[in-house]
Amino acid sequence: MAISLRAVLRPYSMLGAIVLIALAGAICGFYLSEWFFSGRAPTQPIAFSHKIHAGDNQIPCLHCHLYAEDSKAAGVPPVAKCMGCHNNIATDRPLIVALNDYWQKQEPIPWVKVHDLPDFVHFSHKRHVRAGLACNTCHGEVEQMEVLRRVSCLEIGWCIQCHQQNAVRFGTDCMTCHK
Amino acid sequence: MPDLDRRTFLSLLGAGTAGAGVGFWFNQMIRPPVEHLIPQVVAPEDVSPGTPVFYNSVCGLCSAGCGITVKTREGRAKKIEGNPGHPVNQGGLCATGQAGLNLLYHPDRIRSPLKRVGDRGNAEFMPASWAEVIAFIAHTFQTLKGEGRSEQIHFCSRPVQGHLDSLLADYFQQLGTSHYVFHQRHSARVQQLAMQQCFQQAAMPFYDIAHCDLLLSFGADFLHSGSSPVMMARQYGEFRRKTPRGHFIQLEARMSATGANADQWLAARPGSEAAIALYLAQQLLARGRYQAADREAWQNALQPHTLAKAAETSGLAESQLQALADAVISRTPLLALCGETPSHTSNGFDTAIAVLALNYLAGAQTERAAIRASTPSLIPSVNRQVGKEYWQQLRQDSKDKRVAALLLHECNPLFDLPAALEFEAVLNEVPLVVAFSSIIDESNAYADWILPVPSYLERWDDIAAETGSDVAAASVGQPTVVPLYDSRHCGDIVLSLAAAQGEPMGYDSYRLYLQQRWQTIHQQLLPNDLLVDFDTFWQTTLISGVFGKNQSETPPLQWQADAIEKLQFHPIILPGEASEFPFLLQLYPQYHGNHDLDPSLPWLQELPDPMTGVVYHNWLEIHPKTAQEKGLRDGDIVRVLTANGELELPIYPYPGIAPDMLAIPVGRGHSQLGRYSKRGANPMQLVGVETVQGCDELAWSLLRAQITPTGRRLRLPRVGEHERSLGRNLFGGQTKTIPIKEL
Repeated sequence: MAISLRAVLRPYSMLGAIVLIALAGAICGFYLSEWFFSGRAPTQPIAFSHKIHAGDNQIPCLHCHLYAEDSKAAGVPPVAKCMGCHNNIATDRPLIVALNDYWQKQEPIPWVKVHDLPDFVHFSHKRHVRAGLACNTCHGEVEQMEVLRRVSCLEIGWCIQCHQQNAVRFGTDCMTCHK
Repeated sequence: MPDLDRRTFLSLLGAGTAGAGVGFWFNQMIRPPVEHLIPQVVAPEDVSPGTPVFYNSVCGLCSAGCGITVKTREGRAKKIEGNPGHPVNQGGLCATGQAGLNLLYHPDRIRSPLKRVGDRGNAEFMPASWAEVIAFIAHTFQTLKGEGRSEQIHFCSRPVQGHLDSLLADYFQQLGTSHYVFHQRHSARVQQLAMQQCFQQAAMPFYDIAHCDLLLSFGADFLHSGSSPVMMARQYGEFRRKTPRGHFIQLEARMSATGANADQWLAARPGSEAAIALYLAQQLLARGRYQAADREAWQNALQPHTLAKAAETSGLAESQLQALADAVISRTPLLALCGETPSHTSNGFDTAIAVLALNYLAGAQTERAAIRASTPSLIPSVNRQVGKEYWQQLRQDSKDKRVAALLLHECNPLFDLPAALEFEAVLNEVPLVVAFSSIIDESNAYADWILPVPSYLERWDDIAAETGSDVAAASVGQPTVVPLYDSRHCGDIVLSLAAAQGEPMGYDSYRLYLQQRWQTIHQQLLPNDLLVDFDTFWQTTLISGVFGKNQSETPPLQWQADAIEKLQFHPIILPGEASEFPFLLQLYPQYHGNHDLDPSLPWLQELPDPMTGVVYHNWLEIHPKTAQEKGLRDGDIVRVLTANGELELPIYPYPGIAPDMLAIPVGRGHSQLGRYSKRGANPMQLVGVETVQGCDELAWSLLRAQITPTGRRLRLPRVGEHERSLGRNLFGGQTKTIPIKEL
């Protein structure tokens, strides 16, 4: 006697369809969030444009991120550094007025981190800059970005791949990054 | 295509939407939280983010005064190491010093002045302002002074070193009270009093461990809980490395971590140390090692201390004692050390004097005695340590309403003192109790006001190297980070109190006072031809963390003629009947709880005890054979009962203890002192008010006790639960494991 699978499953078809569609919806939702609301380009307290500074005006990265060559942290410019130029330049634009407000109140600008490593990763800008890596190797074409966006995933496989390709000494040792 | 009615369509649409929502939410949830990148407003020129800045300072966790180097990044202290340029520790640092960061970042630190709201002892407080508390205390003091009752103000402090002591002394003199005293649970006071009697020296002697040939330690756990463990461990290293290698003999009833390092370990009965030391001294004379003019007086004094007597009291064989005497005669220089445990029994003062006599007789006529006078400290200090008499008097005064205010500065007498001294009643009766502290401890819980003091990593301090060393150095402790909370230095509090009372002391802050005092040191001690102005001198001292003065050889000690007859041996007296309390219970200091704040430092507490491997808890040591006879297994909780109190602790079968003895480490078992300290039991509640004969220190280290099983068990948190060698014959047949029944 043949058993019809269709006949057995028929009463459950509605439930199955709901589960399938919900699952497909979840996958769509997940990637919707990943691609369009990724947080790779978060909204900043002041809509700072790297394109204007690094692109149009050709300001070198190390002019503002002044510790990258000498320290683990590249350093975000102190408010005083911004005001060094913007005391005179474009003082009437709304964003510069907002910057000036911070300066007048002597408050730091609470920038949102775009490139954030977990606390258990020990990363040194100094090492990478001194090894001759250009900033855009990891940070992308920053000079073309109106809004700064993270272009690299900053995950372990991505680090290791580069270390292997460049035959970095001790580059794949655990202790190199996880101290 | 099946029929798709409206209802089905809406169901599927709903499922899809809900699924998309869940997927979206899930993706957002697995993201790391948003972090901010906060720039400086104006960057300091000498600091780059990510690059550490190191500050040399001085460790404030004990009184040894080791130099430390604190690594800071972006204004936060990250790591403490020893300062290689400091003469005391020469780059070394003990586990307690390393754990100092735990104190700085302790989650239970007091963040602002507190005012009591609940009943005393309940530790219920509300935040107050500094202006309020200073005004209140200043007003109270001024009223008391007006009524001529300033003498009723008591200030009990941890032993304060450096110039803070002189500032406090000046303030309390100005206020009109003489009750400015020090309290510390573990102190060398018995030995200091012995030094005073025998050599007319207030300071502890300098023990030259590095250059002695035979080190004879009477229960001294100097590598772990001495007065300056890092310095002593360094000297011990030299002592062992030199050729010929120094020989180390330890005499004690319970094997300490230091005793485990000895070449020879002799299990002498507790309380017999003086008898052994006096027998050895007698042998030095009898075999002609001491030939000075007062030889006869010594001989008369030492005559009664024979081999037979030493053997009988110590339980050691006569042959063992004779071999010991041979070693003492043949190996010079000899250094004998008296530990804290033997000096806090009823005959501890005898032991301290006997050990000094042994050192003196062995070294007096040699080129370089192993025990010498300490170098005078660069910053003069006064020993204000008090004993039982003070606490009894305080209790009496508080009963008679003659104590108006009690100020506790970073000390915790309620935890340290036996219940019989009724300190709790004092705390309940005194009208005003003020505590200076960084974490609420048992005593502070009774305070009306708690004034938060900064940790030693946030404040100015200076410490002269612990007396009992061969260096004349003083260190300046500087703030390595901006104070985390609304705390104030004790010196600053006193200065503002004086100002609020209308009698300002002439300094705006304690830092200025300190700098002023160092100008005096600069003027007195720097040779005139060096021509260094004060600012340069001060900067150099801050950068190096220490200022030292070359010292000529430390002077030898001269025994006081009238002290010869003080060489005595009194048999030990213990409260309670032996029939009722069959065990001898030894309480011993252990490095997890040597100092008041140690139990609150998790890095220190999670470090396994070197002898048992236990972390975070305390325990009752019992001989494995005795435990077996009593039917007790490892971890069984027993009730320990003495003539004065009782407590419950899990047992730890410990082969390094006599079968009729028990032992408990002191320091753990807090009911306050932050979240990490509340484990174990406090053995000081077993102690009575008996004192060391000849001085008023409490004889807390040896008691009579009985134990009864409770039927409950606790698995002690510890590492290495197995016998270490696991039958692997690691030592090539030289050692063997003895089964319990053969012990």
